[in-house]
Amino acid sequence: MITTQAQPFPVFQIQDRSRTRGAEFVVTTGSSQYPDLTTEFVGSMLNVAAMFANVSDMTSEIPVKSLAATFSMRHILIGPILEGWRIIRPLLLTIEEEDGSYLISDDIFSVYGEGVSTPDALRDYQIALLDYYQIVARHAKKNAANSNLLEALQRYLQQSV
Amino acid sequence: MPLDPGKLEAVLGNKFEFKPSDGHSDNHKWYELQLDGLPVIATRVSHNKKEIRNKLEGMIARQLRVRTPFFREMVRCTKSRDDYYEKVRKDPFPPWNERL
Repeated sequence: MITTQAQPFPVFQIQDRSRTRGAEFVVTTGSSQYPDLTTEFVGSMLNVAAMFANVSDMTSEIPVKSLAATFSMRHILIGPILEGWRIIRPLLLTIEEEDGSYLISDDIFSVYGEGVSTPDALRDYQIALLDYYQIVARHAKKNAANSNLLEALQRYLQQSV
Repeated sequence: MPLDPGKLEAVLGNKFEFKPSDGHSDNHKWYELQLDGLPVIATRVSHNKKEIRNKLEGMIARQLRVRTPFFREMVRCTKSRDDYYEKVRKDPFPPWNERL
């Protein structure tokens, strides 16, 4: 199970119980910390998780069969992040460990963060994502490709009012 | 063989004409390259690492829109600037529109 010790950001925890309870898979939201997350919203998270895991029939009541063990190394990022920004659409992150440090990245924008723990790496990822947004925004008027990329970023990332 | 971040930064700047870019992390530096008609290519290099290991190398290659073997050739200087520019125009990896 991937956990975030310090939780300034609402990260979904994706738990692979396959080692202890067969092919089971659980997504939790830490709802006591984020009480505004609705059941429907959690359901949509599960659908996103299912999409990436090639599982067709996930519900809010897991278990789900036939999930790859590697999926336990994924987080879905949603909600407030750093410096008054928020993730407004679920962003699936991959967590990898190499030589005692952690690398967190997404498959959409190819942004990564790194750190000595998963919370450190997650915070670094958020810094990197904002940096990347600002780079793309600076180039957005130069050509259509950049403005399209900026629009794609804005579908996930928004400045809080 | 692990990659030296200093060498990577030198190669990106001197050979491939990436420009350093501001960021909010003291431990990383961004490099960006704008080619006509393409989205800006931006990569992030760690300052506080002695070497870049495999997974991070793969991530940087992905940010540069090439596969890892091609990236290694870029750093070893067996791929030229023109090779790289042609690659990201004709056969980027991942493709530009993937997942957007």
